[in-house]
Amino acid sequence: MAPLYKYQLFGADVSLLLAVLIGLAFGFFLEQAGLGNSRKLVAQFYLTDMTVFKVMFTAIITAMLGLFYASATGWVNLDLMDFTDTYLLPQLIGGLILGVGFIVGGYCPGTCLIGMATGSRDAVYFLTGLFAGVLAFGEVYPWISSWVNGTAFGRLSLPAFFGIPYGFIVGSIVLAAIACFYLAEKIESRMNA
Amino acid sequence: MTILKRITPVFVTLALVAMLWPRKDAPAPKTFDEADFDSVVSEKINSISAVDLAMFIKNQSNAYWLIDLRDSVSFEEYHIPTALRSPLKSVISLPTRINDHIFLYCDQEQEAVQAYELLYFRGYFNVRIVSGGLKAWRSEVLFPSKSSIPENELTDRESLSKFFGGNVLVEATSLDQTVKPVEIKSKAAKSGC
Repeated sequence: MAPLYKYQLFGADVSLLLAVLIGLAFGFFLEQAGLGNSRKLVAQFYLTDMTVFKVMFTAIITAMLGLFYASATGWVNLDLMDFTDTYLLPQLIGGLILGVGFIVGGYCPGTCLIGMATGSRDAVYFLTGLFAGVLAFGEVYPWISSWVNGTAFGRLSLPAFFGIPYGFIVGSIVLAAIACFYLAEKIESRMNA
Repeated sequence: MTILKRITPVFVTLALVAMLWPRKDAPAPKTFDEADFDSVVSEKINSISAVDLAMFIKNQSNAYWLIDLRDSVSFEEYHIPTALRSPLKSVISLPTRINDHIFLYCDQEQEAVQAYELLYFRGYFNVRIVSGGLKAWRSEVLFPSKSSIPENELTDRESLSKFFGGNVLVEATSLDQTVKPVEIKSKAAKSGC
């Protein structure tokens, strides 16, 4: 029964070791997909190379289907899985800021680490900016905390919010993603024509 | 054939099966199983000594729920710092998760054992009762007698007693002296991360 750590099949030390291994594997495959290259990442926003969209969405729907079937067959207890709480407005605005930073800097927080690992100097500058942003947020948090928590919804999931079966949500997102992949390929070939 | 064309049938099939997967309804009420009941009741109850609990609270190394099962008057009079009061019947309605560290105590042990069974039957696997209850907390943590403490532990135990507002007694005569619970910020268990 999983999550294995939550069911105490191993302790915090093994858990941290696994986190490092999973992190390395994640970084390796992102790099192999070309996501350590800021030109390729920014090309996503000019619609000339949709690799970022395809790689990330494939990862999302693969994990989504895996978790769905694992929980539906009783292998994983989803109630014990941690996921980020919902803070609607801050997350919307934060997402937009991240998008702007993505276009300007050529990286997102994860890919800048990959860029740095492969020796890109611009990724180092990006990472410095990232930490400056984190520090700035931490410093202003006391003043904006009531606003941040004003639209906090706690642990919220799409099936719970809409009252639609979990499987139906998963299936719909996967089908939408597949349709988007075909659309992305069309856009890509038109923009590169 | 492109990769997209190759993976499409796999994803579409998995998506459609997920959409048609029967919705998980509330679990059917459990029927009484004598053998199951006997095995749970005859198993050794997990417990924690008052001193170990004190160390746990002091170190705050893990998130936990410390539940006081006594009445509200006794609770107001004194409770172990960071404890939350809950009547026996309400223990199962607290927003706890089955892997949370839960410590139960009452004046001695009886109600803690009952609450333990209630939770244990529901799959909680990190529940412990405080050995000897509040009585043991007073005699082992707040006001232990000097003669009962091994020489090499005396300094630690003295600082532990002081931390919780008590002191080591030269003679075990004044266990009835009153003490107010000290304020300790609890690293309370919470959902999500």
